[in-house]
Amino acid sequence: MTGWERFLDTFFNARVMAKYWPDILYGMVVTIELAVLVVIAGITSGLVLALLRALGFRPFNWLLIFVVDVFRALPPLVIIVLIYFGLPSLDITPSGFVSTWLALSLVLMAFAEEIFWSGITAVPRGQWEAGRSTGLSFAQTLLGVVLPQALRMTIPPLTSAPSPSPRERHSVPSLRCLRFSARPHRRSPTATIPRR
Amino acid sequence: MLDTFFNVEIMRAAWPILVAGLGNTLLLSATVVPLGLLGGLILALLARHRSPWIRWPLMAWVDFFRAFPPLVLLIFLYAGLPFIGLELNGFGCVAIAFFLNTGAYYGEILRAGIDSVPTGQTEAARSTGLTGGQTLTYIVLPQAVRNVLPDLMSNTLEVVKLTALGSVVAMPELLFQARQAQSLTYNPTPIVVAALMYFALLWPLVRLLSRLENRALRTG
Repeated sequence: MTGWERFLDTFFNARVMAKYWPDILYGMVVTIELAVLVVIAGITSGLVLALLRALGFRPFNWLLIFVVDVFRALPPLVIIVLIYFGLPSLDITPSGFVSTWLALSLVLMAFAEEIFWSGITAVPRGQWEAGRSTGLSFAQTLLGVVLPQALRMTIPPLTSAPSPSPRERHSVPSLRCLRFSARPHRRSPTATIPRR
Repeated sequence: MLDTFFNVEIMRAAWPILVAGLGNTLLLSATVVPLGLLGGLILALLARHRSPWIRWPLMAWVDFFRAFPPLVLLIFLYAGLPFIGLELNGFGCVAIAFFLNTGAYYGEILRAGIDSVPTGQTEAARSTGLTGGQTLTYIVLPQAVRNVLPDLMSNTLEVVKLTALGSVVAMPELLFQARQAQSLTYNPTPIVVAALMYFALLWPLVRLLSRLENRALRTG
């Protein structure tokens, strides 16, 4: 057996591949399910939190910032382990899938909240003032005037689109948190909000 | 509930194990961050090479390691390298995996930073008589690093968090030690304490980053 044959036999063994192909395929389906569910839950809850933060209720915002900090500072693996081994002590026994989903959703929630909040604060004050002075309520201004503009700015960092030029980069939190989940994704090295 | 999650007795028993783990986490971070930066710098400098024969494979390399989950890379190295006669311990595998993975990320960030320095700077430096190496060291890199500092810090935060993956290859870092203590005591307290240690370690960095991000938006 030459070295090359041994290499192929070790790393690209057809027999092993054929045998475990269904298992790997099943694993891939689970990965995709998990990724989709994490993205849905994380982005939605992040958006809701960013909108709640816009209400400007101080004590609530401090709590929110703290929670976001916690999930940005802790390694995702630690959160998964904490949920999987901690919650059973409270008589809640989440499965591995649910633990992972919950942990990664919380992490994504924290990052998404920061991104959406950056978008909301990047909308000029004049937009708020103009919205309110045309008679729109606070909620109408937030949802109808500010949010659409904010969302447009947050699409690049959220979808990992490359920025037009490196000199027009803003530094906003990026979706690096998802590196842990086995989801291959491409994103620009520095998350971006286009400068106006 | 206090007895379950903040059991003082277990905390006291697990403390030395956890502190040793924290020490290893710090040591691991202090190894892989410079390694990643070095790899990134090499990639960023090579990415400016004139020949497409160097640039294209390099781009493929960077894309590959950015798309490849670090955990899979780590397990692959740990399980696969012995077959080609390279027996590495957990630390070695983590170092190589991080060099490849975080090097690719650092490389992209540094490349963006170098691109952000106007060509006039290089031209001016060269025409005052500085050599290519001097221009890079004293003119281009300082400005490049300053321009992408928040991104570099954010990546460093992620790298330190990623060292928790070392627990998968029996590297006795903080999470691994906490898991050991937890399985010995059947109590989640050690993991809670480990989480608090991670938080205490990384919260200052998260706060600082948050400030930088907000400032970038305001002055942007």
